[in-house]
Amino acid sequence: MTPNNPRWKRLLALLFALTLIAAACGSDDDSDDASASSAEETEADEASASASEPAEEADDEAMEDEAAGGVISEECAIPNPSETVEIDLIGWSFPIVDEYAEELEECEEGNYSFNVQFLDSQEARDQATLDLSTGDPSFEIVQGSNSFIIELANQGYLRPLNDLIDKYSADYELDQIDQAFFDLGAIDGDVYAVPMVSNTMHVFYNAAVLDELGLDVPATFSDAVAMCPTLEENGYGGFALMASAGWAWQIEFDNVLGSLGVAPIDNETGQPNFNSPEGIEAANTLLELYESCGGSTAGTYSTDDIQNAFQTEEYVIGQTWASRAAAMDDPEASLVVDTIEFAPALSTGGGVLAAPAYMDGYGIPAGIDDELAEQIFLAILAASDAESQEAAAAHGTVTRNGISNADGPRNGDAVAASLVDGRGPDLSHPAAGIARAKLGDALIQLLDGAAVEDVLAEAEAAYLEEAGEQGLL
Amino acid sequence: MNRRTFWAFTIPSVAVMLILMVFPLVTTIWLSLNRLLIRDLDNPEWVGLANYRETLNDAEFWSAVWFTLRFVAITVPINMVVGLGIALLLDRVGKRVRPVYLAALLLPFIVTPVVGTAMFKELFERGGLLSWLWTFVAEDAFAITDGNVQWLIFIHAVWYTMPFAMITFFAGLQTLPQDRVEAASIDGAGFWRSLWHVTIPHLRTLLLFVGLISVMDAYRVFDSVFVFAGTRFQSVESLQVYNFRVALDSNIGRIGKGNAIGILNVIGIFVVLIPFLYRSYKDQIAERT
Amino acid sequence: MKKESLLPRVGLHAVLLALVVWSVTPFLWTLQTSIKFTRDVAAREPVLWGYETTANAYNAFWLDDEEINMWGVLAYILAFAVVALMIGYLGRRMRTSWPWNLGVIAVLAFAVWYFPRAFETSNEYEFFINSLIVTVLTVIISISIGLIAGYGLARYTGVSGAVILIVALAFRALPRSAFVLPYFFAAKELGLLDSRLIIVMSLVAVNQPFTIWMLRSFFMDVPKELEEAAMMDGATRFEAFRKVIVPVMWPGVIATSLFTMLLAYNEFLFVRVLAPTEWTLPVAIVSLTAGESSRTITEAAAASVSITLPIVIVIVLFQKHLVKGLGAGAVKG
Repeated sequence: MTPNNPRWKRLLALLFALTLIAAACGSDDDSDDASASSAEETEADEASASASEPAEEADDEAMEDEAAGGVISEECAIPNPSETVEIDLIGWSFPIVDEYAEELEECEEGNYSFNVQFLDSQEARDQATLDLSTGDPSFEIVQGSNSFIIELANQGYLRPLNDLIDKYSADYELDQIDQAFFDLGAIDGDVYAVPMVSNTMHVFYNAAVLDELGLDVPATFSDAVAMCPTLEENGYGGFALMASAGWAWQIEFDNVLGSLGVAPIDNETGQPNFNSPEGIEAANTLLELYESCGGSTAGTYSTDDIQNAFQTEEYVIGQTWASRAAAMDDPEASLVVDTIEFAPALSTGGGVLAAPAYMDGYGIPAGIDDELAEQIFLAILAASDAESQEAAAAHGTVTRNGISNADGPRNGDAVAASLVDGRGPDLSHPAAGIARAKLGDALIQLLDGAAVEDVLAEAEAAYLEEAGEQGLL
Repeated sequence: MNRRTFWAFTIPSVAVMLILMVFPLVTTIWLSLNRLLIRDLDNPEWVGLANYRETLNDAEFWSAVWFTLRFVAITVPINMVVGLGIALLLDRVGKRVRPVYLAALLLPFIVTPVVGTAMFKELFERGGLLSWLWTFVAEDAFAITDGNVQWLIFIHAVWYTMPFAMITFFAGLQTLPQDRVEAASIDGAGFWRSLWHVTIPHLRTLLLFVGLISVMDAYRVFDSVFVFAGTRFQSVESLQVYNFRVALDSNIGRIGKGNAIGILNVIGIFVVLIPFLYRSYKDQIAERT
Repeated sequence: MKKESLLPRVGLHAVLLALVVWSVTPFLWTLQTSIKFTRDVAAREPVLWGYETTANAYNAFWLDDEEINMWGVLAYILAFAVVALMIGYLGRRMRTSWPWNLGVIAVLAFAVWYFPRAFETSNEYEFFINSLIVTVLTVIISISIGLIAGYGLARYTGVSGAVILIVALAFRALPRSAFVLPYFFAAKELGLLDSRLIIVMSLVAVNQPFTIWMLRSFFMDVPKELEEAAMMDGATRFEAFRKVIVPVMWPGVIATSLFTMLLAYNEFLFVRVLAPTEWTLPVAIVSLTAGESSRTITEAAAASVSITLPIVIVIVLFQKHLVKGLGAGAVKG
């Protein structure tokens, strides 16, 4: 047998055909149709049946479009694009951003199509950064906290939104969103995100149980430490602290350090401040709380676990994310509906509370052409308008002034106090992200008995080396 | 079969392997000699062996090496011995119930590793079955800590990789000529002697095969450690997890160094495997003459 | 026999049952988690009996509409499963079973295709479709090229055959990290990133060494005289291969396909890096189970049960082939 043999050619043709199938399925984005054709291999009639379907849908939409007078629908009050706009969103999930994702999807009645991809927060950061770094993004919306938005913007991966904000501010009443929220996601006046969620940390407590035990709501870390023996004697967990991940320790550490009046690094030069007497005091404060309130098991509670522990009355006091407040009243998950109350974050005794100011918003990657960017921006506007924010307010704190929801969390005052009197937002220096990562890696070792001084010195050395290697100092 | 026909038959497969495996490997080597950051992908800078030097001086690298070696050294022998033991037990079970046992025992092997790991881990989490049962033994409920997470990973590895050894040995036992076993038992050989003199020699190639595959797979363990340890436990980082963290972390993102670690990984596995590969090569040549 | 008395039957079954418990406990635990309410799952002392059951978690994962009656969904799945089973069963009693088997595939494919038209499905359903496509294509391509290569390697006695086998074995040992970043950059350049094609290609590549080794050892079992007789009658080698050898190779093809299927269906890392938005199920599930922001434990459990069931069914159906395949093939290794 030789390569000239016709049988051999037939084999080649077969391989070629298989490659074609693969190529067709690979590039075909409409998975339903592709599934039918590939799983059935050759079911031509079905393929054509499904191919005719989008056309019919398009007709329907055109009629709806006319009826609604230029906008897609009441829920999605933006013009309908003439061609399908596919939007992939990456981010991480918590109740209020889930609601916003649903608000986005209401625009699917028009020519929008959404694919919302929520990963674990660290995974989402890694995935988004890798993807955006190639300059040809696979995602159209990046949902992230202000610190992540700034990290991306510092590297030039996000598109400044100022032109679009100026163009649509009046029509969509963007001035209802406080300028301070826009500033959280801005560098030198360039705004990189539309603020959707306002977030901070504050004290949660089970009022009924604290009353019964005769305990007061603590205001400082030493108050919190002092109440733990009583709690544990009565079979409850101690003061809940987020201690199960490096990044959680880093946020708590930055909170306490901020409460002591120090920023982790110098925002101008990038030089570290965290390996200092204040840094050691901050780490010791956390360590003392951790050791006297729960010991070995406290370090295994993730944010979700803490939320669950409050809902099942295992924990009756602690400090965690404001965005978790609404879940306390969710009858499907909570045994303590209406008994959890909220207070401002703890402090170290001075005037500054150990609470961060966070904003979660939607950004648009750089490298997307202006026309598409405008359509994406309109979708973001639809998801962040007053009507959508009112729905979102059932799950957390939104960014527009005067929006509330009767079913929403009851932590408004605690949030306001923690935001106003807290340590403020994360730093915007390009190396700040590295400082956070290295601090997290080092501080988590406190759980395993490492010494505070060693841990901070290690974080400082690792930070200086990495930031130097990346050319950021 | 002549040479031309042989190549006509094998060329698609060889082409796939050459294009899709050799080309990436060469790219990896090239990238490993550059300083390349996710922060700045357009400007690779030739740095020679600097990435390798840095990796070899990195304490985290060595901690990952030791973890990976412990993982291989502990799980592979357990898998083989326990797998063989269960295969021998299954061989004695009647034909009718055997498929039921086999199906149940195979489950951990066929389940998606990341999903199986999450399931297994859930037993030890708060509210999980084993964590709760622990309260009957000790005072507190069981919690995954830095001290025990490594052992949980090893136990889990046995849970999901042992069935492969088991089913392969079991399949091998089915081809064991019955007359040889009977001859041994007529000679009065006890269980252990007939195991040692009849069964194990028969399974010799299979033992090598399973050992080789198990070492390869254990060496590059990723899914289970990734899910089990997450970002919480740094003491348990396998080489693959370490590699991807260095290369793809959003704040660090050092593609060059990541690829250098990848190449060091490749060198590491070949140091272990070359004697086996050489032996397999000899076997192959011997078969042909 | 003498050994039977050494290890009494009861002891044998007791040991095996203990092993079964060890194997399946995580699955049973996940199953019961998936039908509970979150508040019962979060309790420190597990609620083992008498809890309220719900299919909410399955609804949340697969569907986009909370109002859908999950009994309807179950009825839909069962109806198609029963029809497929009946056709398959009839097929086994007929002389030519392949049209019936094709019928089973057609019914199942129709069920998968029609499901999103009957119920409003979520993104995760698309990931399931991706999983199916990637798995089917990987198996087809991998086995097609592996089959001819395995045959060539089994019949050719030159040294280059041995070299190819050993190099393939060496490739089998390579960690994913040696490939995935180059794939990522190459795919980005070629515009293939985020496509099923790049995933299928990479999976075919990493699976090729295993495929050719395994298929080759099956071909070694097929006597040479078979195709030699056919070639004496005037058939070319390829004709002989196709008409005489392939028909007796089905057990080997099925066994190898099962392993390839497991690899493709279960792949996490390649999909995670190479497909930022076109996920397959394992990535979708890890996004639920890993880290801090797991949406809920119950939804993750429901997803885990859902991804495991199809593969369990396939393996149970073909278990015999798996064992026979490994026994016939690997001993010759």
